[in-house]
Amino acid sequence: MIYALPPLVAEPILHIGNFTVTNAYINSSLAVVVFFVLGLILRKRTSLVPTGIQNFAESVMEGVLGYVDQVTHNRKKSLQFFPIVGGLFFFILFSNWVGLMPGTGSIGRWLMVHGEKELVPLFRPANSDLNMTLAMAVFAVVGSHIFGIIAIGFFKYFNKFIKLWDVVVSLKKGGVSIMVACIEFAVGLIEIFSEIAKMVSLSLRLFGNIFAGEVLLTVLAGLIAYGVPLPFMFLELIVGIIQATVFSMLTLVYLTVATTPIHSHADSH
Amino acid sequence: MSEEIMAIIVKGATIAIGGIFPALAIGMTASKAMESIGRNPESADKLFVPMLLGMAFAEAIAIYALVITFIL
Amino acid sequence: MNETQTPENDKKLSKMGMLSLAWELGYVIALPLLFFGYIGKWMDSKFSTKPWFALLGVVIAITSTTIWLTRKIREYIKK
Repeated sequence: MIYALPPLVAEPILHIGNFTVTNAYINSSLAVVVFFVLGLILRKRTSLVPTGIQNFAESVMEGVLGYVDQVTHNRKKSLQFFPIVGGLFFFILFSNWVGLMPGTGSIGRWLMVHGEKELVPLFRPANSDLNMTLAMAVFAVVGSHIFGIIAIGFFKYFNKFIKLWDVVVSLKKGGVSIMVACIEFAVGLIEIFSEIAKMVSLSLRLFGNIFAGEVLLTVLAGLIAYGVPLPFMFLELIVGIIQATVFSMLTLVYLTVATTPIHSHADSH
Repeated sequence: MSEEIMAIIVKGATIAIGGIFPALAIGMTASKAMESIGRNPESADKLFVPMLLGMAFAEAIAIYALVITFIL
Repeated sequence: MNETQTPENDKKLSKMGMLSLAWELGYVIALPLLFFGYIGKWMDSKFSTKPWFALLGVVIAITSTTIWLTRKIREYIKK
């Protein structure tokens, strides 16, 4: 096959010492370098009347901050969450869109893979590697827990999940409430599963969309190279921005829900 | 047909067939919900929660198919 | 100012919370089932009582997921 069908695992390109550099890693480092340079440029050009690139950056940031405000309803919290949520959004958006540029998936080295000489592409969209999306999902969910503990306090936050105090009180009553305590324990276990489900669903959704888009574009470009991949590339543009929005919005919701103190649950029983 | 070819075909068929029916179910749920929102726009908030619940149950079936594909 | 903001605050939050719940609900139904079923199967292979532990695991998973789900939905519907 003259075109390289991307496998599930990102292929290693070169080894720096003991560290394997895969082609998705090259793309994500490229995104990091671009954002770093952009940050340095924006830091130098602070003036009260913004022009040029500072104007663009400020307008984009105001727009995203407005959306974040609609979920948290609290300006102070929005400003605290904005680095995480905005960073995730722009990083995922940039990685997805750079993966559509000509050169990703086609320029590569001819390496020996499983005994045959195959074309291993140098660039591959950063989110088509399950490690990347899993890392971001774990960061988002664990970050929401850490923010919740910082905002509310350890025992009150823990009490949201396992409801330890209710279990202890019902154990003192004795008798039937031992069974109730077992049920409560099982329900607490399901809460823990809900956190695992959050991580799994966040990572698998982003990975599945971007990886499937990459395989689709590669196969289509291999079949008919001119004209037919065009509507599919447009679809990939839309999918890129939708997936970035969904990921960052879900992270924002987890952060907000974790840092609101529950005062209205007690009066619903 | 050798065993490896059968294994690959079965894996593909599992996720293919196991993905069609949940997708159909979610699409039909969403289309009925859109229809009734169009008929009565004020009921959008009340409809939202049960629609999401129905969709989630349908999606659970798709996840069963996905896990079986990974296991096989 | 807090009083007038809190009711619509709760409704907006519960809509967003419900949306995030809807994304994970499929996994929350499927994953505990597989997990408890697998633990049941492993305990079966240790104690060699053939299907009972796996069935018990599945029943535990279904009951606890249903109870958790009804509690969550009750909170959101009450709001």
